[in-house]
Amino acid sequence: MLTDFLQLTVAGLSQGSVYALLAIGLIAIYTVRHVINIAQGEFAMLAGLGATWMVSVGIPLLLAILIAVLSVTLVAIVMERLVIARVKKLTTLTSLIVTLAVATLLQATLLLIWGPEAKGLPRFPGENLVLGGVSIRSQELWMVGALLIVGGGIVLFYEKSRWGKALRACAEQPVAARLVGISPVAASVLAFAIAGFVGAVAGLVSSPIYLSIWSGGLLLGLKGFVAAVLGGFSSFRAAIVGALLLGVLEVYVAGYIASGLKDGVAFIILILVLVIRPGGLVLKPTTVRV
Amino acid sequence: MTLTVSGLDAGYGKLAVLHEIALEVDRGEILAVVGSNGAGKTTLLRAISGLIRPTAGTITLAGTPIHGKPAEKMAGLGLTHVPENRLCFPTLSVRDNLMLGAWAKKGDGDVDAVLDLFPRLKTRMGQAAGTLSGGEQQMVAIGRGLMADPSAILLDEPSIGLAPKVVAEIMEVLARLCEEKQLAVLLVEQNVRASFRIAHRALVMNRGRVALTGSPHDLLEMPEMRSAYLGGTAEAVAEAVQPSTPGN
Amino acid sequence: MTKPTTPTFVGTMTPGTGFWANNKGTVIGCAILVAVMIITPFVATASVLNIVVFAMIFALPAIGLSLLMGLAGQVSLGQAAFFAIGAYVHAILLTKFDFPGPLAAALGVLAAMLAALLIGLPLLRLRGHFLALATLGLGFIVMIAVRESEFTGRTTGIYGIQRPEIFGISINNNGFFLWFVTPFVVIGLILALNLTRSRAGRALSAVNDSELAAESLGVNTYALRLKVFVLAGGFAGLGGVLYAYQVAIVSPQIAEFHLSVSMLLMVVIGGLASVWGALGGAFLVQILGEGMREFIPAIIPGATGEVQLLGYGLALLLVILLLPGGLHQAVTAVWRRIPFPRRRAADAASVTDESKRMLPAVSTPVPVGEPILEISGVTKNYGGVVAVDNVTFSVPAGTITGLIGPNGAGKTTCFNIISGALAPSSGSVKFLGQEISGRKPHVAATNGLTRTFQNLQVFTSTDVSGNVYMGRFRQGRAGILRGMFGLQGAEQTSNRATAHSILASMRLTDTADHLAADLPFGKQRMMEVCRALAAEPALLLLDEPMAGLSGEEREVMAQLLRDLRANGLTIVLVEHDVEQVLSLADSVVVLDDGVLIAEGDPESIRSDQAVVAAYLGTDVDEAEHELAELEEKS
Repeated sequence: MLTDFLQLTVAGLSQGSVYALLAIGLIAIYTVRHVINIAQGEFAMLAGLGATWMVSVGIPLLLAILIAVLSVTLVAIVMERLVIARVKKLTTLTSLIVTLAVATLLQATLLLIWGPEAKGLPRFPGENLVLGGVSIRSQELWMVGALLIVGGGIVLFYEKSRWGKALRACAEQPVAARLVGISPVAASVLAFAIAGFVGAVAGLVSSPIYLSIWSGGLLLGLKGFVAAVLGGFSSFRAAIVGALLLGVLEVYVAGYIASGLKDGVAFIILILVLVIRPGGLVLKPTTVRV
Repeated sequence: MTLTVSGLDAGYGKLAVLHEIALEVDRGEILAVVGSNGAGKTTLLRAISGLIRPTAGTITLAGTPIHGKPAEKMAGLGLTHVPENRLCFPTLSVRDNLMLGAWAKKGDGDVDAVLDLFPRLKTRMGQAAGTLSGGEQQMVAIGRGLMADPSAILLDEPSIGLAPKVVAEIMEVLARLCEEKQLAVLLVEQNVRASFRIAHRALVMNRGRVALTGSPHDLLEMPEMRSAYLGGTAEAVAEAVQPSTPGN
Repeated sequence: MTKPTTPTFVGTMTPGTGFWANNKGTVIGCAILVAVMIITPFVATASVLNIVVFAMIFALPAIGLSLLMGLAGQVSLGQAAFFAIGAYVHAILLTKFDFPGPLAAALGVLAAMLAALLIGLPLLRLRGHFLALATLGLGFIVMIAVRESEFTGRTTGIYGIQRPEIFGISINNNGFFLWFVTPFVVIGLILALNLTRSRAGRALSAVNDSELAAESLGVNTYALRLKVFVLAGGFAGLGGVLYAYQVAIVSPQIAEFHLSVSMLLMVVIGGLASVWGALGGAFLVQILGEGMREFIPAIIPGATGEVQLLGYGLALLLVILLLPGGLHQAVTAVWRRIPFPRRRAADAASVTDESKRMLPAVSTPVPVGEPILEISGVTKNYGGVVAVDNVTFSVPAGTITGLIGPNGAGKTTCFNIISGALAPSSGSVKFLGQEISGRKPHVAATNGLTRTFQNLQVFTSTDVSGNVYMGRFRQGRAGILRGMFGLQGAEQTSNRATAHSILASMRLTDTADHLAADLPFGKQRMMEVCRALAAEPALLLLDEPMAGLSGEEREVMAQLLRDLRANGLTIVLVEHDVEQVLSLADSVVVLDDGVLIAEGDPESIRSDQAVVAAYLGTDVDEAEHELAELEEKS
């Protein structure tokens, strides 16, 4: 019993790590641009399928991963410059429609290039572990590790680095940020680059186990969104906690109730959170009025 | 003249707020801009710092035209704007708020100089700016504006919502600052007496125009000053309008 | 020309009255549509007929979605979910329970509406993002639910749905089916078109332009939005019901994302807020989808699956970036270029005669001099900062009360508390003896309290008379249903007349047909006052009514306010032009730092020492004393 439970928890945490990375991307863009990027999950699928293809034509795994991360980051920047920056009046409605359009376009592109089948990267190097009867696949460690390193890195970046602080400044007081000389264009591009980067990492580490498929990004992005809502769309830490919680809950539902219902969990949580606590898991509101 | 504005018109969309504003501020000089609210004082600062685009007129900083440039370029050109309501970055520490003030310089800036002016902030450096008192936040905002080492600084209602004692403290620092750093200071205030005590010259705005200019002392004596605030006929104000560009 | 900032139905007021004048476009359009649909089965090839049938089916969810986006300003990314719910319920009732066709169909539509109600109830209170993402999630949920359940036939779905029979004729081919579908689409179109021009439709369109102003006129935004969302779900459900008939198999794919995208695309191509556009969009998207399914495999060998998504994504992007108003915008632009002799509302101009200037009606529920508004002990804190501190005053009926004070004194906060836009931290606001503090603005508005705004809140998607007409909202009763069936003609005609007479009283008649956004600033402000007056308020709150007005306009405004007072209207104004307030008001309340520092008639205020100090700064002696102290210390 307990072993099963722990086994499921491990799977849930690794899955949740992927959602957490996507939530970080969504929050990065939302805080600076007030755009919810529906194409966030497509970044992950693009990276996964692209790297899988590269490996299949003989490019070494590590190199394929590097190229995939760089090109998806670039795609995100291009999306900002070519689409988001060009919408004349960026309202909630138009921002949802354009990012949905980009998501659709990316899906179609993936379908046309790599076909309808799900594909996966080879497992990353490493030994599977067995701890007290609970077997942990090495790839699951990679997934959690990616969150620790990349997610943790992003959090540190926002808290310690000059540009990270500038992004927070833009999110908190856009007018004052302009007045000290931070370019809103540069901030927006950087936010999209971060979103592309974390999206790509999420897609790459999850590809060996959960596979990559042209149509998979939307649901993945939606789960990232649920995690971001849990984080009140402002706090990375709360969103990461929320994402891990979501991942674990999903796996419990799949393990103890029915595997087919797994994808419904996110939606139920979303509705519940929005009804009960629209501010997410954040303890106190950060709005400061003077 | 460090900062000169002439023939400036600006507004929001269809609403024209400023009409033919002309003013000059020299280094080491404080120009107080006063007027009832709605007179266009904040709009004037926004137009100068590029937050809104002027529809006509010129603005120069040390001889270089700066009108039409976006707000994010201004700090780099040597002009900073300390906005109304302070607008500190609430979750960032005081230190980070100040450091970001030096963003345009691409360096760390001189935090010590700011702490020298506002010693009270020394003990607050690690604290999130949003948790400070109003007066301390104003100090952070002014300090942030100084970090880019500007030649001209625009201040929008630094006294608002502060206790008289804190107002006096901040005004005193501004006076010291202006003299030590030879800054050109454009001080928008509704607290007329507080700002006039430190200002070298003053300008009264009414309905988007320059209504009166002169030395603070003279202005306070003028009955028109009072009528600009508390009514009286528009003609009386118009009659009292002096040439809005003082001689060199 | 200024474009509306949010996509809304452009609802200019039709100058004429009577059925024909108001419904010309609808009648002609529907007649053409019906004629084309009657002929199509005889002339179209099988594949064209197929496209037409599906376009007509999908037009229904698209029309629903266009109502949601145009009227409620919200977007559903899961319109296909409601479509699927309608289709499944219909199919299950028909095949498993042998329900009669019409009953099964009706229950299918109801089920979709119920689902919309359950989703909308919690989410329409929140910002638009959440409804969008939640509906996207709903699509997945519906798909998972039907795929996982034995009852719904898992991935195979439900098959064996019999085509309907009408008067003993089985609708067993596409031609018949088209004729079967057409009446539904035509009725749906008419209902939707009526709705956009109804009291409720105009109110929602106004909400999109300015939620603040609409609520101040008595519009209950949330309730109306919820109704439209449910209605949109119903349209989608009906589409699903018809789809189940046509395809005879209902499988989980119909809840899929790409179907929702195609429905969204229909609306976006048609023009975010055009009912006719949604119909046109449905045809274009069907053609585009068909074309892509043939074209893509031809150039990319081996391409299979949902290849039409490429076209959908591109089309969505291009329309939003290049033609945000969609087909509707393009057609309107062309239409305006055609030099038709157009009827102007010249007849209305004749009432501008100075001598016949009529004042709008005001309601006087309280005798002059009795308190109509009582504010007692009102305090407002913003996280430790006290913006308004224990303010108490009352406003006698039939007077003008001025609320003044220096910047940051708390006037606006105080004003917002009275109008219901803000809830006080403590204290009470009584209007006509009834506690109104902390209630939504539409509650106070319904009782006869209206306001104007410092930052203009103009309904940009309609013309000047349309704006003033909105002021009549609280006099009307017609809801969404009556609106859809067009049963409010008399109400609309009388309201239109009132709107015109109010415009005449402000000398704005000549601008009645102009788009509100095209007016100069001063005129917009005057129009806002007209709009507030149209509500026949008992108490009019004016937020800086003189700001931005020219000298002449100020005179007109001041005279109007005096005349209104003479007629018994109570007015409270916040104004920074102290001179104007002192010359206009009967009594003046002065705030400084959130505290009421003086109250009285204009003369006593003018000479009040505390007021002078408040305006010209802290008392000079006191401050100098403190500064001296400070210098001593350092």
